[in-house]
Amino acid sequence: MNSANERLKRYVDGIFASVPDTKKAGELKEEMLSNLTEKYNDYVASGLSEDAAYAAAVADLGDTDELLSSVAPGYKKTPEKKKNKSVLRWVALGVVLIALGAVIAYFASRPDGPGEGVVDNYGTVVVDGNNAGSSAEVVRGRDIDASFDGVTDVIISVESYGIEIKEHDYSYVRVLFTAKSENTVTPFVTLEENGQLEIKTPAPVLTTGGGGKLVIYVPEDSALSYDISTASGSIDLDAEGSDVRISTVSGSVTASEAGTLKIETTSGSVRAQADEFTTSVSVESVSGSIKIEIDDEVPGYVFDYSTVSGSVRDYYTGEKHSGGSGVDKVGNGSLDIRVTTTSGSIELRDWD
Amino acid sequence: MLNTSDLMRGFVDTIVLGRLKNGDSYGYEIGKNVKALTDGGFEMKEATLYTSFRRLEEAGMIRSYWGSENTGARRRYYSITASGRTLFEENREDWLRERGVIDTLLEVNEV
Repeated sequence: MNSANERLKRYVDGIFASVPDTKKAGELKEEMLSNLTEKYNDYVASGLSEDAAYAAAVADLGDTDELLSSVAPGYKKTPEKKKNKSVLRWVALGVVLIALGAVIAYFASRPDGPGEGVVDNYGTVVVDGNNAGSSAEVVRGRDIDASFDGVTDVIISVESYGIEIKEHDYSYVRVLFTAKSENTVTPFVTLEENGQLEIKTPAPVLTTGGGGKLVIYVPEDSALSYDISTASGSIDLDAEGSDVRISTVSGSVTASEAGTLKIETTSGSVRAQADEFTTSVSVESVSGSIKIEIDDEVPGYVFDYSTVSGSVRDYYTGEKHSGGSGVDKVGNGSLDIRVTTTSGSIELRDWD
Repeated sequence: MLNTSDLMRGFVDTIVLGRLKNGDSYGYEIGKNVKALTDGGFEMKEATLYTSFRRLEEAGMIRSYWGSENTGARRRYYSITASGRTLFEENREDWLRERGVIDTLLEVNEV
């Protein structure tokens, strides 16, 4: 038993030998060893010899590369990029299928008269997608399903909704709002003639007591500009953007692939991803933790950080600081990163 | 030929949520249950399972805590969050809807 334990421990140590010693890596290691040990004991109890039980337990582990890079950003064993593409493809296929189903359902339920908001049986407001270029306003009902053509800017100013922005395969922008309760205040959705799509809670906003979920689908690679502000509720921008500004008090923010990205938060955590088309990332926070992830295609960056008591860690340069400010330049310095926080931690790492 | 593991991969997170929906559990137990429930028809590699845990935990769908085993290494237990339950229900609904679409397109009922 003890020798088997030693053997499994050596095996797991071997897997983690080239992995930077992060907290997450340590936890995964312990978790792996405990599961392996239990599995080994079961195999032995079922009648396998110790050697056979060891071999069987270890064989069930599978490919650990993707896993290890998720707990230790510096880890790179296999040179080819983005091994998990095939997973993404299947996920993408799933999303397409779901979107297809949704679109079929949507077209099946579309009202005939162009440009009119119609409340269907479920209290859902549906605005005709052919309402291109003009303006549409949705004020009734608690839920919204509306589509708009010709959108260039998305402006969101709401109180406490979770916000998700994703890409789909269609040329229009679709706004879905689901109210969480009877007390939820439904936002106004208006498309201005200049292409500004505005989503706002009616002012003055009292305590909504309800909240809701706002999901916006935008055309793939449309790189719209976004100006999003909210009090609480998480914001997840998973679409290409040109000029992106996000401000929140306590919501967490995830944003990827913007041309320029500016995030302000008081206590929400921030995760920002930059690719080779990103020219600047700026984050201001009081106590939220900040994680900035950089795609392999980015040729270099200038990292300008300032914090009173937060820890700073740059996984590219290996630099670690506790409080203070400074400027690091890596590569050709084409990406401008500015981070200011009072007590939040700052991390700069590989996007994988 | 259809690659079964590619096909199943998109469902791993939902399967994990489905297992946790009925009570807290840990990696080996979940793997074992999935194998038993499918009569060995579907076996998740542990690496796949751990990757799914990390992803779900990061997204706030599950939470983890350490067990207090006296002998041997500690188990890392996972429990599903409210958003995890919602996600599971959504994915389940999506699957029920899309299943019909694929069945129709692949002429499943005409065979």
